[in-house]
Amino acid sequence: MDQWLVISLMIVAYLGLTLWVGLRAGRGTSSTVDGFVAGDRNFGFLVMYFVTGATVFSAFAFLGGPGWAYSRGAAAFYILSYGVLGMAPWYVIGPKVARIGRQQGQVTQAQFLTGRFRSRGLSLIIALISIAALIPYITLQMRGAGIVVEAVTDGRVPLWLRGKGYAVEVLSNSDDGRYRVRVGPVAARDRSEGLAKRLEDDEGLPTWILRVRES
Amino acid sequence: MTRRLVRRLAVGLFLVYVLAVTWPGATLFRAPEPLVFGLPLSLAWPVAWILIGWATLMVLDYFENGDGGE
Repeated sequence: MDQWLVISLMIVAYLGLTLWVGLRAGRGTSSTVDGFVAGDRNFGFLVMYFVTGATVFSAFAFLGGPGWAYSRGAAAFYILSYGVLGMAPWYVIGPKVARIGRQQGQVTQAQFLTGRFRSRGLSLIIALISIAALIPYITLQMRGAGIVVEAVTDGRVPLWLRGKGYAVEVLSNSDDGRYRVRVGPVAARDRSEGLAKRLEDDEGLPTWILRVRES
Repeated sequence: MTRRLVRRLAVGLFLVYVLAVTWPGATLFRAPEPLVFGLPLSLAWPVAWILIGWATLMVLDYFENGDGGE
């Protein structure tokens, strides 16, 4: 069996598993805002694990982080540290926010902050910021997921299945060019380095432009 | 060991964690060698702190929610 097919089947199996977990978790929830947004505040371990994982390991974990490491090298190791340090405070903050939200029936950040500070203006600002930040973020995730699926299936998954997040362009021109001609970053670097060496050896031409572009 | 002491130790350890992986603490361990379990030192250092942080949260959770605080 072709490698891209095996990978595609693994992706389908994973999506099927997460869909099953989600449907199973949602079956017993009430038809209320609490039920729709927060699963009646009764997530089990498995769903909570996936929700937390989806929060932390976004498209940045699959594309941004490796891309940053590929282009900048060891300087990207800091990502490992802030991933842990950024989440650790939620061990303390998370249960408190959950408890207050449960007591006061809050399901959004805007509601929570309004409940704490009694300000409709603040609530409006937070709501607007949430919308302004979340829509591009979700778009970015879909775009990122589409690129990952496209890459691991060697471009065989049709466009309409790869996510439709084109509102935010996340790729550099160079990356977009590689993406369009179906050349992975490693292969592209091999080619440009080979070209640079040939130009330098055979033609005596300066190749710093190519190297700067790749750095 | 009391729950309060464990909480303070955990907070203190995470503060040390912050200092260890940011400037200037991290610069002491930025060399590629020696290799630690095949990893360059600059990578092994944050990985080691991830494991320390995980173990710390496990101990803290034991005292907060498990039998350790009883």
